[in-house]
Amino acid sequence: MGDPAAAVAQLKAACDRAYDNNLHSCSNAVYDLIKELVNPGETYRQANEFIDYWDENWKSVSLEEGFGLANRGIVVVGGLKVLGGHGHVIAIYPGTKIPNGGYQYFYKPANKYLTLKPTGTYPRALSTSISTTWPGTMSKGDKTVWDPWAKDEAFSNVEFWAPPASF
Amino acid sequence: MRSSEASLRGVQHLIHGRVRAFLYIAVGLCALGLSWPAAGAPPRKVVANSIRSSPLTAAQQKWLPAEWKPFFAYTRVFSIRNSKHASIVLLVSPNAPRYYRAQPGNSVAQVQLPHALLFTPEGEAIGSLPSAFPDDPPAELRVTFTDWKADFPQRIELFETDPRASGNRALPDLVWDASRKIFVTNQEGHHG
Repeated sequence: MGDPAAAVAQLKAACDRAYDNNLHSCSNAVYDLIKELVNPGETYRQANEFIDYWDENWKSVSLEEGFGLANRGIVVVGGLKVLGGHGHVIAIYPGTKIPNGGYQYFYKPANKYLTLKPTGTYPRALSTSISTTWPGTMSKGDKTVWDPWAKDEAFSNVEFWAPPASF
Repeated sequence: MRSSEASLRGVQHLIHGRVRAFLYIAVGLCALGLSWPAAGAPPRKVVANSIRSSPLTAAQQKWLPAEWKPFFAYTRVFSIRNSKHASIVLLVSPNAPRYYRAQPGNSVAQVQLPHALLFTPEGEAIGSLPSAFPDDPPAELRVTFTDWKADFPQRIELFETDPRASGNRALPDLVWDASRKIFVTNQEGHHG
């Protein structure tokens, strides 16, 4: 990898394009990112299948390692399978860590807006979703990798991977 | 005379109609009676979400840890009853809609609600749920008491409806540990 700042700018620009072009599909957003920066011949997979593929073919990294790699311009993906469902995949968006939560959602049974209080700082996320009912799933670097799941118990099961060639 | 004949015919018609209806019902019941033993009795399932709840009593307040105190006014008790209509398990939980409705303003900071607890009617703790019930915003939990033996549920099935990335899914069942007299997590869960 050459100039780290240029690599980070390239990753950020690719994340932005992947977000804008795939607002309703997490797997297509991550697929576009991988095609652009990792493997132009990448095969499209749905979220659960991507996670299986990364688990077997990419290198597992901790969140902290992933944060460091993304800020060197390296594509770092993450996700959690849902058995019998679609699962969700994201990528780490380069930049500083930011607080999780802080946004509102409408809680119909009480007819009120609830604001999710920040509980910590996390790396930023590229995340889109077929379902836009949870605001934490939509992030162009403005929300964190925690926010799609928005629960510590669930987020503790999310795994991250980087392409083997990055090491 | 004609009017008395007409009224007699009316009564006969009414009686015939009722007899016919009775026969239909009797045949229907016979059919049900014949089909149930063949397929086995329908398994008893009690869905806590469909039970009417009651407020927490002063005596029940003493069963709860100190962190429940801010939620006492919004806590509800769901009585799980056996086939003889006797209360056998009490599901005690802060009620999210009642709590948030009572907060001032249209926008409220979300709080961590205590998880629902299970008690005997005498107040012995016999387990806990993984969240508040029926709502722990933004998720909703469906709780089903099933696998009844000796008029007591041996299993609690949990299904969470969640708009977050985890999605809608079955959570691990809670199973009754008779030796410890407590519901414990069955990590294998079920996929319903």
